[in-house]
Order: sequence, then structure tokens, then C-alpha cells
Amino acid sequence: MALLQISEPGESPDPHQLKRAVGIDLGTTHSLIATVRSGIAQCLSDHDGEVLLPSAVQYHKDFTVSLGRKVIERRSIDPLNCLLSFKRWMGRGHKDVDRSASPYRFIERDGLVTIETAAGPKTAVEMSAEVLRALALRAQESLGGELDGAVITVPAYFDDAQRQATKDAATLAGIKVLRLLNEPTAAAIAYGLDQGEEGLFLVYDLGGGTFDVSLLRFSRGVFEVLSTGGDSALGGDDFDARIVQAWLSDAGLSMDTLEPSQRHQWLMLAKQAKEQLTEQEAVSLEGPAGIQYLDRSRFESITKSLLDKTLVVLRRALRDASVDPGELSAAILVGGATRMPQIRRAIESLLECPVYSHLNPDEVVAIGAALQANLLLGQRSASDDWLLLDVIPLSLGIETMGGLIEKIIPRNTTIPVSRAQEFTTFKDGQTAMSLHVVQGERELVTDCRSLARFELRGLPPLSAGAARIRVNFQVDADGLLSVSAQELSSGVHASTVVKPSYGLGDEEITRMLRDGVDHANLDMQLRALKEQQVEADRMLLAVEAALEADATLLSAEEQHAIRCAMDRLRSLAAQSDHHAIRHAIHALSHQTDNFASLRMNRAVSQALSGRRVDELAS
Amino acid sequence: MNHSISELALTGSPQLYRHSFEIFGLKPQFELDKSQLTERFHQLMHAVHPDRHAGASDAERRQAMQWASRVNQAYRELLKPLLRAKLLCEIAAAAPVDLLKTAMPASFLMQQMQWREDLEAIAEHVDRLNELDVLESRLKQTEQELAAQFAQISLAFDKPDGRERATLAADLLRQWMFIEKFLDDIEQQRMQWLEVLPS
Repeated sequence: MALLQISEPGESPDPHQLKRAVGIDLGTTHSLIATVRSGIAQCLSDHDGEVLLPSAVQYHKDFTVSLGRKVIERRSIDPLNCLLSFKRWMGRGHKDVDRSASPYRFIERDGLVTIETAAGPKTAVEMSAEVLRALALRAQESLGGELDGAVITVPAYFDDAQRQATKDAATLAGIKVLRLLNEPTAAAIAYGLDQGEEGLFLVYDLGGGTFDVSLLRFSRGVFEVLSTGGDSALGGDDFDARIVQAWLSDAGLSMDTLEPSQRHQWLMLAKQAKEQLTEQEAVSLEGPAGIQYLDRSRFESITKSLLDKTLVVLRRALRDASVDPGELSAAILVGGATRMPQIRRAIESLLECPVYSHLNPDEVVAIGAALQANLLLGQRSASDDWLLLDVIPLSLGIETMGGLIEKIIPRNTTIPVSRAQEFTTFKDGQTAMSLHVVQGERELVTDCRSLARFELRGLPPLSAGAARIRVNFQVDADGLLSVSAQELSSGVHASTVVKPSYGLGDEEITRMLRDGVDHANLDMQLRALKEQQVEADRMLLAVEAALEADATLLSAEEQHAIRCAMDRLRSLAAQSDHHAIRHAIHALSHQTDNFASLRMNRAVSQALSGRRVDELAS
Repeated sequence: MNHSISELALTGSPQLYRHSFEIFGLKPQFELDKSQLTERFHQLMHAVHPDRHAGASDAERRQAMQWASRVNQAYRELLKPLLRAKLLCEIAAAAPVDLLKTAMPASFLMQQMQWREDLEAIAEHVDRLNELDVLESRLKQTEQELAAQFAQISLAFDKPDGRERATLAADLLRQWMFIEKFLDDIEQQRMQWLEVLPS
């Protein structure tokens, strides 16, 4: 009998109980989905046998949506409604985006990047949700049923707003997110488990629109991220743009004078040239203004400053982890853009260690995510057990007097992490205060990303300086921040009103969900009911397993109280009131708090007594 | 705004509030086997990390997050010599130690000023990165001396007058704290000169 959830035997005895776990790489240029079948992680292809789904969405007047390759083909005909590279706008404000480089009709709505399309205003979250929905559908068809959960990857250097936006997109697409996983970490998992080699690894991940570097140590089944760095607005796309600039200036033209459809044509041509230069020394291509020529040496010189930018980030990540290049076991190249020969050359000469790129650089992130999704759904064998310890990429802080920042959680802190800070009031009888949470490394608020403004209300009216308000910052394993506050002298929980600086509120998500299902002719209520029923089942199963294992930790009364809460939830879940089910889930959760605490305490003491939990199970 | 940092802020199981040596099942002492510490960190994380409880009930997942946060914090506190020393003082004195209090011997204040001037002078030097290394190694040496002094004093923390000794040792830690922060400034300066400063 299993003692703990974590000691459940890895392989499910009944193959019908196998859970459908997927890993999704939601990329700037293309996205893909992978799963683990018979112990092997593999990417799933569409009906045409294609694994890569271009991250491109076309909105039509009748509210239908096209996706992928056909959108790319149509973008010179319908440039305003064919949206590409929208990952760059995730969690970003209207003012943050360089609108001159895009052909789209930007509008400002709640400060968020929003595009006017034939089907109305759309945000990057909604566009990403379309891509996620299509991938989920592909997996459902392939795996023969609804998905039990997904691990979605994000650039390691994504800030809180960008991560939250990714999670919101999954919610909109109706996907249960098991975890947000950093892309370089996912790649390291795929390589680490493939090679079984222990040591220090550096992952250099240059995608279509984002760049990440992560340093990891892999030893005895633990992947430990030591530091991470990156640039969430630097990628292969920028190399294409440099080529276009060079060609246009040869022809005495500039980007600003081009029609949107022409811009697309030039960028496609540049991309083609870049890709061909991986194999060839020089290329000549037929373009909108005649034959365009480009050789490697010119390509390398016009893009050198981009490559140099990545090397600065790389050296900083090494310094942050106090690692000398000589200590590295290997460097791992990830992302389609690392096929450019100058990148491999630069890494080899800088780090002087073996450079791995034998796993498909487009697929390796999704593969790693699928492996983690499988693990999180408890489908593993004792020989295939590992743990991932990741970090927060950017420091979290709050604004203090004079627009300065006080760092609360420094970058590269292992997550989950919790830190608290105490504040006091500066006026007699003050009953509210506001806090501004920011993320970044610079000293001034104006140089950092604004995440949210919190207002604490309902403080007891005390004399100035007498109140002691403890504000707790909790970053979870997805790298997402939540803030809570309490006045210590009175015990009053201040209510927090959160205004995300560049994100969607709960109401907006609900509205988008409603819009989405209206168009799909689905009933919103039905969806909510189904979600709560699935959650109720999950909860009942989890508590049942815990009771089966550890009922002896509880008194007869405690057991009875939990059983009652379970019975109540079970009977409500068979009915159709989703609010009532949610309340019953909450009640059961509350009822099991103490039990959970006892089980966890025991798990901790067992861990230290030297006996591994999986040894106890057998 | 007026505030101070308290490292630990968690609600939940009273077990979470035990001090970091207890969490790791270690005897409170300054000498520490780093590989044993890391091994225990991994063992604890295997038991409490949220990924190990992904399918569990909400209550257990909440517990897992609190525990994993606590274990991470305890690991950092035990791993960093200054934080470890501070914790030992706090255990022995049964009171919190404020490292930011500025009361320091006059001789140390003089030394501080000298270091600051040295750092400013280095900026003008032709071989400034090398000079920075030299200054850094001087500070690291002083830091090691302070650590050794502390290690010696802390051996007597369990004596009847341990409490007084711990209070005196706290003065040593404030000097050490200054050096830590100065070393951070040096690293920041180095990153700037190497042009790898975060933006």
C-alpha cells in the first residue's frame, strides 16, 4: 500500500487508466505538442504529417478563425487580419510595443496591446488561445480522449505578466495547466534524461522572438537551475529584419515606405536567405525588387551586434552562478535560430566545451515539457524519477520613497519562495495604503516592469507608525507571484485590491470565455459544471488515496468529518449546480487542512531519516 | 514608507516555524558539511516540492508550496555563512539580531572609508579589473578572519553565558554584513565594466 501520493507505483496497472498528459511549446514562430507513449516522448503531427504549427492566426468577418500554414500563405492578401509573432505582445502594454515595425491596426484598450481585426479587437492572449486550442484538439484526436493536463513552456526570462498571460491563454482554451515550465529547462530535461550524463550544463536557447540562457546542475535525479538570463524581445526574427534593412538600404528604400504586404514579402525572403545560409556560403533569391544576394560574411557582420547581445547575457548568467566556463560539462543549443553557423562557432570558442545539438532544436522543448507533464500526472517508474528545481528570472520588488525600488526577492532565487516585509502607516488613523509591485534589476521604478498596484483596505485606525502590516510575497512553482497582507497588532487581514498593470482581470477572462463559447455554440454553464465535476472527482480521488494510506494519523472524529464532507461533495457533483459543487470542494479542502499538514510533516521526517519514501513503499 | 524585512512569513503547520537547522535535522553549529547539506536539501525537496503533489488535494498542494518555500529559505540560510552565523546568534540569544544597525568600532569605520576610497581610485586605473580583483581578495580575507573569529566564539554558545556571548558576536556580524554588501558592490561594478550589467 502506498504511503504517499509520491510513492504511488509509477506505471499504472490498468492501461485504461493512463492519463493523457501533453507538453506544449507555445513559440513565437511555431508551436507544437508532444506526449509520452510507451515511455517514449514524441511530438504529435497534424493530418498532413506536420509537427510544427506556425503560430499564425487569421480572423474572419464571420468570427471564424484560420490557423497555421494557410495563414502564412494568405498574409500578403489579408495582412491586417493575419497575425504572426504575437507572443511578443504577451503581457505587454500598448506603449511597450514597437508598432512601427508591424502592419497591424493597434488600438489601446485598458493599456493592453490590442489589434483591431475583422472579428473585432483581439489580444495576444486570445490569439495564443486559438493556437493552444488547435494543438489540444490534435492531441485529443491522437490520444483518443480529453486531455488530463498540460505543461506549457515559457521563455525563462518571461516576467510575471507574460507568464500570467500564458496561463490565461490556456484557461481560455480550456486546457488544465499542470505547470508553466521554462523553455531552456525543458530542453535540459530532454537532454539530461536522454544522455543520463551528470554535471553542469549551459542551455543557449534562441527562438523566433525570445532568447534565454540557463545554467543547470544535473545530479542524482535532480535538475537544479543555478541561474538564468535572457531577452524576451530578441530572436531569429531580428536577424531577418537586419537582412531586410540591409537589402532595402542597398535599394535606397526604407521599411516605413513599404505597404504591409510588401513588408511580409521582404521578411519571408530574408528568412529564406537566413535558412539557406546555414548550408550555403551565399544565396541569390528573387525578391520584390529583383534578385537579392547575400553571403555569409555580410550576414554575419550585419547581425554581429545581435549575437554579441546574447553573449553578454550568457556571461552574466555564468557570473550570477559563480561558474567558470571550464566547469561546464556541455553547452546545449536549442531553438531553430541556433542553426545559424556563427552561433555554434561563437559558443564553441567562448566556452571551450562540447556543444550538443543532436536533438531536434525545434522539438526538444516540447519533448521536455511532455516528460514533465507525464511525471506530474504520476506516471513514472522508480527508475525514471527526477525532480526539477527552477528559479525566478527577474528580481521582485516594491516602490519606495523617491521612485526607488526595494528588492524583496532577488533574481535566481529557487522557487517556490515566500518572503515578507513589514510596513507601517505614516498618518494617524490611516486605514488604507497602496503598494506598487515591480519586476526588474534596475534601481528606479521607471526602468522596471510594473506588475501590479495593491490597495490594502480595512486597516485598524491606529496612530502613525503603530500599525504593523506584514505583506507576504509568494512565488509559486510556475514563477507566478501572489501577494497577501495582514495587520499584525490587530490580526486584521487587509483586503487586497489588485490592479494588474498589463494583464487581464478575472472579469475580462470570463467575458472572453463567454464570447468564445457563444461563437462555438456551447453553453457556458455547461462548461463551468463540467469543470467543477472534473475538479470534484480529482479531489475525491486524492483524499480517498490519502485516507487509504494514512487514516491512522487521524482520530475517529476527524475521519468522520472528512468522510461527511466527501459524501456531500459526491452527491452534489452528481447534480448540476456548479456553484454548490465549488463550495463543497472548498469545504472538503478546508476539512482536510490538518490531515494534509500531518501527512506533510511525516513526509518531511521520513525524508530526513534517510529512508527514501519510494523504498518504504515497496 | 518604513519597513523591515522579516525573512520568514508563513502560516500553516507549526513545524514550519522550527529553525532552519531543525528543518534540516542538523545540529546548530557553524562548521557544516556542504555536500551533506545539499543532499538533505534534495531529500527534503523530493518529499515536499509541489511537483511531487501535483495530483493531491488542494490542502496538500498548499502545504507543499509552503513547505517547499520554507525548505528553500532554510537551505539558503544554512548555506550562506553570514546568515548561518546570524541564525546561531539568534538561537543562542533567543532574540532577533538586526544586522543593519550601524553601531561599529571606530577602527572598522575608518577601514570602511579606506575601502570606499580605494574603490573610487580603481575606477581611474588602467588595469581596473585587475585592481578590483586585488581589492576583492583583501575584503574576502577580512571576511574569512571574521568568520573564523565567529566560529571560535560560537563554540561557547552552549555555555551558561552563551546568551551574552551571542550578543557580543552580533557586533562581529554587523562588520561582516558590511563586507558582504561591499563585495556585492564590487561585483556590480565588475559587471558594469565587463558590460554584462542586467538591464
